[in-house]
Amino acid sequence: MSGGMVSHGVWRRMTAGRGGVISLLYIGSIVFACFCGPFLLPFGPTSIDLHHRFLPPLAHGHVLGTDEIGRDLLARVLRGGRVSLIVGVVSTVLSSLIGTVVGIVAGYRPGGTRFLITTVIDTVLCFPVIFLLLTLAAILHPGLVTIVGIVTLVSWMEVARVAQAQTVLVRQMDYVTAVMAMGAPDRQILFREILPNIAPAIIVSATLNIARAILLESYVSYLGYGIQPPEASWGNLLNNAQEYLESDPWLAVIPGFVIALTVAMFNVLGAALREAIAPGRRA
Amino acid sequence: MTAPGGGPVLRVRKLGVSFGQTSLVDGLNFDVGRGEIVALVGESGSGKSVSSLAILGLLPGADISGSAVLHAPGPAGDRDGIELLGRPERLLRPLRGKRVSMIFQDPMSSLNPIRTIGAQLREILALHAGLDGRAAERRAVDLLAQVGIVDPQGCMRLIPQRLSGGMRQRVVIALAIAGGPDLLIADEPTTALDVTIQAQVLRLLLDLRADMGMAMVFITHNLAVASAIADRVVVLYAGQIVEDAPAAAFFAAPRMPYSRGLLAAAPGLDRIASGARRLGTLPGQVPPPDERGAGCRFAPRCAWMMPDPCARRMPALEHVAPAGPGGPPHLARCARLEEIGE
Amino acid sequence: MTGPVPPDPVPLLSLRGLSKTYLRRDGLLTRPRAVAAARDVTLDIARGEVLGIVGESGSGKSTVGRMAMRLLEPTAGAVHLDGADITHLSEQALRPLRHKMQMIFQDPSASLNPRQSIRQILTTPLRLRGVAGADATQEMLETLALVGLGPDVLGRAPSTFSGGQRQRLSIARALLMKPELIVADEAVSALDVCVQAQIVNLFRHLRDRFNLSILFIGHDLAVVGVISDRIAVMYRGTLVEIAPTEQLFRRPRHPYTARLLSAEPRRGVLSAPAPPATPAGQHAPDGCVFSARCPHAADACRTRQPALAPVAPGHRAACIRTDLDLEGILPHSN
Repeated sequence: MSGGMVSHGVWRRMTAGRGGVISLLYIGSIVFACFCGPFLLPFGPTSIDLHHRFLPPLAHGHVLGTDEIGRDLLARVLRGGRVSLIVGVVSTVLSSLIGTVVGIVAGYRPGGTRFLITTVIDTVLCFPVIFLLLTLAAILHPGLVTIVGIVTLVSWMEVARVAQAQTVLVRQMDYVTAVMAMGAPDRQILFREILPNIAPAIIVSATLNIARAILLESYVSYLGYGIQPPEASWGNLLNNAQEYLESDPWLAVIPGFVIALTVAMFNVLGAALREAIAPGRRA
Repeated sequence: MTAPGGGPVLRVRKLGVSFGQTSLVDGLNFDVGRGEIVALVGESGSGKSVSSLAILGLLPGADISGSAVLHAPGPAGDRDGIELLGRPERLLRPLRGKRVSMIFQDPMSSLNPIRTIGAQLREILALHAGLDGRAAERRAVDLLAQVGIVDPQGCMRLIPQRLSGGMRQRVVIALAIAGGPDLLIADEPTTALDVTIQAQVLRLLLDLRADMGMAMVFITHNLAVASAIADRVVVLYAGQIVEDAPAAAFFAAPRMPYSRGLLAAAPGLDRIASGARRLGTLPGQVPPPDERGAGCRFAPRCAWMMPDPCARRMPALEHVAPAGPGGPPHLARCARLEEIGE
Repeated sequence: MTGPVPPDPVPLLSLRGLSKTYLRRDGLLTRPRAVAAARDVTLDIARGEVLGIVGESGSGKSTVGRMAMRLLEPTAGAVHLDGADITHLSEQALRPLRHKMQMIFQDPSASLNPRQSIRQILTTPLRLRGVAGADATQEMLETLALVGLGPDVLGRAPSTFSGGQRQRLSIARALLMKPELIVADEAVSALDVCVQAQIVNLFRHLRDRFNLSILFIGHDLAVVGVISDRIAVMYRGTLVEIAPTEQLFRRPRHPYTARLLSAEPRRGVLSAPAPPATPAGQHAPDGCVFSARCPHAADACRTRQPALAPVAPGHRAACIRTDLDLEGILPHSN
């Protein structure tokens, strides 16, 4: 299928640029480290060792040191990364699905439906995301499922907008009109003609959304409404570390740096994808 | 090859244009006489636009060889003419718009969308005619009237957006002739226009030629348009000139087999009268630049092709018949001209 | 073909007073005003007939084509296919009839889905007709041969084809629906002369072979003239004249047609005196659409749009100046 040819070209163009290669390598490594790393470390993320509190990095076999109750920081960063990445990816998958469906419907059905949906999207977009997020987090019982749910809830609009704009664009292409003129059912027009042509733009938008979702999770957990201790997440590591910012700065600096780098790398990946896909869209 | 009025305005010799390894155009020789309208005719990929852009130094990144000499009487007193190819941009710029102008298919590509027509005309006049203030204003209005704009004063105050496509092209022509050029290169100037507007613009170009003695290179893919406006027709195929003939002779009896094929494929009105509605077709397609063989480039599609010499040797562009003394030459590139006859 | 087309008891496609009006707002605060893209267009296409529609940009020729296809809802009027009124059929009810009318578009680069192979593109119509397996492949190959392409194209992506080849593929896709009518909207306008000739010949061949009807929409009078049995001329949304091709070229009966013919580029045309200057501007709201530009306009022309009326056998024009002897571009034969 030509989709195969197209994605092959995208892969080639992606890996031809420095940004694509570096971001893919980094993301591959961080995913591997977060999901397999904890099994390879001698310390568990929640094993308390009151004899070794506030160890600086590289002391007593603790690569990144320990926190106020002697838990290994590297183990906690990796464990927290697992939570952050799961939240980022799962909420992005969910919000992309919702956004794609909503966007396609709005793009494909002009008139009342489109007006209604765009109004809803614009209204939701008007809310300051972080307050909406905090309100929801404060009402709901905190936990992994909750945080995935609320991050999804506040981030489907971006994808919906992209999907709608792309659908409107593709819908008026002659090849879609030709299939409409054959009397093809809507389902077929949407899934065979429109979706494959808007998918690249949605994938780019989703990649950028992962970065946003990771950041959102960190905000919420940092403010104490997200993942609850003793379970680690990048956000609550920061929350925990702020008390010791002056005496033991690595407790804040290290998770902060990992968050920033990961978010930046997903953004670089999104940009590289966009670059790589653009020539395919022109064809 | 001398046109009436003492030597050609433009003399192009061995013009070659290539990008890296890919040669788009090679060995182009043609003259444009004073006040003459030469139609450069060809299908897409024939090299007709590329050649004219190369002549004006508007093809950054291309390797350009050969020579294109502009002979234009002027204060520079250039008896030997001005070599355009390889001329530094700094020295080329004063010539553009003053000695030689160019207009394109899309008039918006030469107009600034956010400035008024008046401002753009005054700027050109200051640059090329040294006019400013009242004088520039008067001349601008005159120019707009000359290109057939009904309310030139009103037009001066408008931005291009407010004009129709035909009016925009007229404004572009006014800008192009503001410096009083000796040569106008027009690249498909009427292709985007409706047929009634096209007729008006073509007529305007003919009137300007009559008034100003301006020569023209008219690039087009449309043979009917070429037949309406051209004095001479130069046919390009796969980056080469294959026929160069006075328009009357060309349309009465084209000699090169490709020219014949082109005319047979064009849906002329005479065809409808005769009831012979079936259009002539050529097999195959134009070879891309990297698939041009050593022989005649048209050979693979030619009904008269012979393995030898057609497929082996590139025929030269030769006189079809001994032209009478001073008569306009008719050249064609075909090894079997005599056998094929008229 | 100078005689009238023999009257068909039931034309394949019949457009009855079709209109399309858009509301356009000129400024933020102004009241939207109705702009007619097509106004009261009535015409028939017989089986096996090629009917050309010519007009300049904004004439409404494409609007008429899309309304005929039921791809655009008319504001008023009716579309009859095979004698049945399909104007108000729901998309669901229309679906079984859709295959009878297929469309070919202008832009070869936009007419094939870039994310599908040619095999996938050609499978779509076959699947809708319920043809599958070996039968589908066989029919696909036969149709490709008909449009001059070989079996090697099936695995390729649309982007690997030239403009002319893509138009052939679009035609193959349309033919696989077994249509009775093809609406070709500027289908050869983007092609080079030689390729254009091939596609025009292909259309004529298909008409002869399958008794297809073709609604050939174009702006180039020579191209439309070469392919069409009859030509309808549109100006600003209004059908102003319809006649057998040669008759229209020999003796136009509407001043706009005469203007269009006189503008057709050809040798020596520019040395003839220019047609009288015509002030641009809006015609009287109720008057003839061409009255503002018409050199023959009388007072009556500014008060009412004349209806399309017979002026000769098979020849109708929307002009009250039946006394005019307008210049054609073919010699008078009789």
